[in-house]
Amino acid sequence: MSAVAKSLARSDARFALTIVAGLVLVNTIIFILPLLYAAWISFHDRDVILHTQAFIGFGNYRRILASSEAIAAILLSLKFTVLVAVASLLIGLGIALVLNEEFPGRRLLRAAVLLPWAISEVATATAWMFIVNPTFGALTGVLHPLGLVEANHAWINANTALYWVALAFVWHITPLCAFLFLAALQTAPESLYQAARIDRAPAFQRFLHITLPHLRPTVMLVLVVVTVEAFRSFDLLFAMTRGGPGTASQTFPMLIFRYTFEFSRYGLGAAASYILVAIGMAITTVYYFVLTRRRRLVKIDGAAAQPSGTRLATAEKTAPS
Amino acid sequence: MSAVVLQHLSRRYRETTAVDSLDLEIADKEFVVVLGPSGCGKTTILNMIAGVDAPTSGHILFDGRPTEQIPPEKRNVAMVFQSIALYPHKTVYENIAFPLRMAKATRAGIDERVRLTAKLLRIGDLLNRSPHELSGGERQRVALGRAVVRDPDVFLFDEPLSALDAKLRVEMRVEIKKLHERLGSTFIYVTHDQVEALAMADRIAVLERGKLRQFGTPDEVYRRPANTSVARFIGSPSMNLMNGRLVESAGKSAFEGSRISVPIDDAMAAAARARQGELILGVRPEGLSTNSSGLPLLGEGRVYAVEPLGSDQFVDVAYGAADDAELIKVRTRPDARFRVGDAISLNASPPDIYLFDGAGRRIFPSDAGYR
Repeated sequence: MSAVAKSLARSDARFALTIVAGLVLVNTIIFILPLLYAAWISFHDRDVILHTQAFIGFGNYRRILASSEAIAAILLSLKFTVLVAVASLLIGLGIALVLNEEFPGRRLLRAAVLLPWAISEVATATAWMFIVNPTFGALTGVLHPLGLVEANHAWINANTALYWVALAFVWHITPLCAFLFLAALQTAPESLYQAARIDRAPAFQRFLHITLPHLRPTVMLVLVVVTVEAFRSFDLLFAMTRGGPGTASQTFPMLIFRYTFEFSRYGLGAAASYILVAIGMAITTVYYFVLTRRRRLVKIDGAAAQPSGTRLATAEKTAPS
Repeated sequence: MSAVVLQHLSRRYRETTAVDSLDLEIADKEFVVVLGPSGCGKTTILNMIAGVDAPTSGHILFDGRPTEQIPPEKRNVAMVFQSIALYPHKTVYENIAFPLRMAKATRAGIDERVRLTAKLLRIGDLLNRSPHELSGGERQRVALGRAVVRDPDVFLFDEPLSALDAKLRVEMRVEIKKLHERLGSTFIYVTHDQVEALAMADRIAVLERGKLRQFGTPDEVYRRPANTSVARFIGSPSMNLMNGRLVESAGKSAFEGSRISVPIDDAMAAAARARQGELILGVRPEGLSTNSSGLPLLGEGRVYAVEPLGSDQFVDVAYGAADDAELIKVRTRPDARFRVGDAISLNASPPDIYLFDGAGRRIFPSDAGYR
């Protein structure tokens, strides 16, 4: 390397280091330090009234995982997440497919569809609570005159609370899914669809063999985003039901809030937060393995003549989707 | 097997006419190349034959049957695309098998045909690869395989070689020609590369701005271009064309251009006399020589540029003032030496001189003397 090239490379490296160092510093202060502090808290039992603090190792974690209240909250969270993920994935894909077609007013509709996502979760909650209000709510207002429900019908009760919150959350998050799908759909090469038509594939087969494989990475992305969003969702739930009635919609983030800010059990809250993160990561990992497709292979005539090493290497590699 | 007939075929978009009242009769088992510059409507024609685009007016007949009501999946047509368009998420095997799967062939039948096709195209050892693991030439072969495997009546090729490098293009050219011989199907091949067209076609349809300019064998379009646009398009470097008119004095006839005049013989003069007005004289670089046989190009010629190409050498000769010269390209022996600025005289032999009328239609030589 010439002296000029060397000094250029050195100046490039210095520039890169400066930029990265800034980011590392900011991240350390607002992200890594709180994380470490939370981990430290999670290993202690702290009493805010007596001002005592004792190291108890994994005691908080053990207590949470042994508590039926916490397990119920985790299961409720999982149920909520599955409901939201499945519904928003399917509806989002449906909306994207429609918006991907040519029709007059498509631009306007595309912009309008994104609105629910732009509205804050608390505002969303307020709107939905108005809709389902037993006395002056819009839903009762429409259905009661038709004789479908009695006046003052309590839409939100112990059996339905979670579903209503899930519905509101789906309404909130689906536009994002639709947009991610729409973006992916627009990059699907038109020539593939033409090729498939000429290969005599009817519309449904074209969807199955071209659109879906093309969307596979986006499905993964959407699932991860929606799962994480739903699993840790707090604002909407808090603004709509506060986990009630009773504990009917007390999801795990809601319980963490209670541990920390209602019962002031900081150690318990911090430990529960780490459990929440661990579950989220576990689900994402499962997605990765389920959605990374392995290639279907066929026997190759005269394969023995080939060096087996290269063939195996190709065969075992999974198609990056 | 299929003869394909296009009748008054037109395709108009909002402001533009992509295909303009095209008539073309393609015989069964024929290899027809549709040749034209980009944007002349070639791909539109293929799309209409395939059924993925509909004509604005006119008809397409397969073996005499109109195709208006036949959707693409019911036409037994295969297409190889410029973009190659392999299914990126499928292996080579699955790509080739796809049309058969859509036709609901049995698993064993599919396997047999895929392997046979792979063998034919020498891609048998690539069956488990993904398209992104293949080289450009291999991808092209797989795309051919996907077309061949269905045993279609008509093959459509949309500039299939334009994405390949020059060396590979020459190889694949031969292979596609061989494939046509072996399969005995009708091939309709679209390209803007006149060398590809001359090398492969049984007949070439020269297209310009959606209109058919000539339909003939490679030899016909080269030796008897119907008009100046075909003359300009076929042959490389292209034909020298000069504007001028017929001048007769003292029983002698000459073509008078602004910079060059050429004494012409009686047959040419007679043809020119029959059409009054402007004339265009055409002569190919390979029809000109620097020795003194044939008809001289009169005027002051100077060597303007020399392009040695190894097997050939092309010399640009400038006629007229330096800032306003008319350039004539001539092919010479590769070992001939020229210096820029030297005076030079050129000669053309009658069989290599073409005359076109003011509208660009060939008036000499006539078709009568051909072959």
